[in-house]
Amino acid sequence: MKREKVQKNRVTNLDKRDMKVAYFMLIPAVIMLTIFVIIPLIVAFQKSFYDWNYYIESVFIGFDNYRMIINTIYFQKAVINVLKFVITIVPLLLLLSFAFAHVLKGLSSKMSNMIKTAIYIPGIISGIATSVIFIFILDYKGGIINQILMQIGVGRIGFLNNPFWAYIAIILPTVWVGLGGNTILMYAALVNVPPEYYEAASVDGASALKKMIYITLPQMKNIFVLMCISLTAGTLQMFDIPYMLTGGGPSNSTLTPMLYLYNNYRDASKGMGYTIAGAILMLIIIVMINSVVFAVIKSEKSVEG
Amino acid sequence: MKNRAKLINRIVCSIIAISIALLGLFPLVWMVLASFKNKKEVLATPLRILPKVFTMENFQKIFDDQTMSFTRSLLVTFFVAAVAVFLSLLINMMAGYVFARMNFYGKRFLWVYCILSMYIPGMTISLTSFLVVQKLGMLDSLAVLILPGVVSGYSIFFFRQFFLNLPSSLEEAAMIDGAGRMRIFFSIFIPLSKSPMVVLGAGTFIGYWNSFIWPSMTITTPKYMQIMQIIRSMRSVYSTDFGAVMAGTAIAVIPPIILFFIFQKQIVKGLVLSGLK
Repeated sequence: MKREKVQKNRVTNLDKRDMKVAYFMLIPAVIMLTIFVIIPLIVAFQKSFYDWNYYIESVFIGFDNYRMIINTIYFQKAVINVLKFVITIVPLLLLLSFAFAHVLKGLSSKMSNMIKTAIYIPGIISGIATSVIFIFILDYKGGIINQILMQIGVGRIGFLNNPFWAYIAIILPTVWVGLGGNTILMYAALVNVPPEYYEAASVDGASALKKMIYITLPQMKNIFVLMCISLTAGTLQMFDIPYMLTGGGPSNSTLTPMLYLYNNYRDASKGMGYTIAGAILMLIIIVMINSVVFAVIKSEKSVEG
Repeated sequence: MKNRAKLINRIVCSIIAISIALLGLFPLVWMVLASFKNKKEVLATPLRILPKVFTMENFQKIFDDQTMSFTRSLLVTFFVAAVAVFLSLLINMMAGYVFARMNFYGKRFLWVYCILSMYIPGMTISLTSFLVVQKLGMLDSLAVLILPGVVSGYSIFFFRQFFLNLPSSLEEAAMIDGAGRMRIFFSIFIPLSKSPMVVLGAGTFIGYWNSFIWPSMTITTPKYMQIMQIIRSMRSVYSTDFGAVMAGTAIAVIPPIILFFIFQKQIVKGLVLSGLK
């Protein structure tokens, strides 16, 4: 009885020493997160309610900054633009990567590994470098695409001078960068579908289309949802490629919210609170979208467990 | 009969896959070819695929340009990324270990605190992060380039997951021998963590190497200019001299590609793990 008690005490002492070590090992992470994530977050929320810049005293103005950013025509336009990008880029990447994953499945494993490596390379190149390469490729006079269009008699296209073509000019490198990684994910999910399902369906004489509708798509529902959400969140934050390729032009037709905020955050004339209010709005939308991912993962886990 | 259908299927798939892969690599090949062409040939009509004369003048030009300090920027960017990789592996691994293997008060709260950053898009708080580092007097320093991106909720999450899957007998034996937590961590767990270290280290390096927004907000002195900032300004300085711009870009994309080729297996595996969780 007594011995047991002594032992228990010893354990708690050990635990206490252990706890000190635990806190010690956590300190660097917690301090850095506090300085570079939590404090900026708090400052952002606070500043978004004040009229301020470097030269004037801060004045509390409630939701005026939010009203101002929502009523800014350029910001509205940027939001509409980015939604257009979302509804084209997200389905396009889902579809292409789904189709390409099926192609990879038909390859020998050695070959499919080689192809996976090759298509992933564009994904590790920075948005700035990607844009520079595409500026060259899409150049009006000497760019290879326009040269080919000339050869086949279509004539040149001013990719960066016309709103519609500028829009296409941005989708092109975005898909180029994203296809590899998304295909690899799709492929991983596709080969995870138990082959017995297909075998059983074949025995029953199901067509390829039926197999797709009744086996592949339901089995891959989760990966579709997850990819859809993360692609949406990513596209909403689109910055590098429009910044570099079109600068948001022509006439703001490819301006995105992040690009607008980046261009205006140092503009003190309207006070600096309203760009921060815009950033907070984007943050709320993206966090909401991300938390759907979390919910999906959780429900999946609870089903499995 | 069935085998033949399979064979045909494989051949068709191979042809499609190879053509898409080649199409995907084409912009990079085109960039490299352009970097060896002289000014006349780069945008020549009609189109020439291979340069008539291989020239090194583009590379010479960008390395000789004193105002651009291309070489210096490559070195500084490499240094920043390397230090960031070292710090982020050490700090995130420690945190991941603590959350996976130890008990302490406030664990749940601190866990949420640490992985919160996974859900916050960096871009949206960069505006106020800028204000914070400005207040701290960190603008135009190496620290402002390195430190803000070092701790990542995602890395902590990933390391914790990895450590949770290691057998608990690992530290039990060492503890009986009287080894302290720190020694167990450094001499047993770190050597076992090569694969997550490779995945996250490579990802961190590539992220730092490619970063543009944050450096462009916080660095104005040529001394610490990051490579993507240089590519950006090359584009405006050399505007139509595409040979030079492509030469610079070709060099700037080499380090991530080399890194990817060395660790491709682990990186692809890590991508799948993180995507499927």
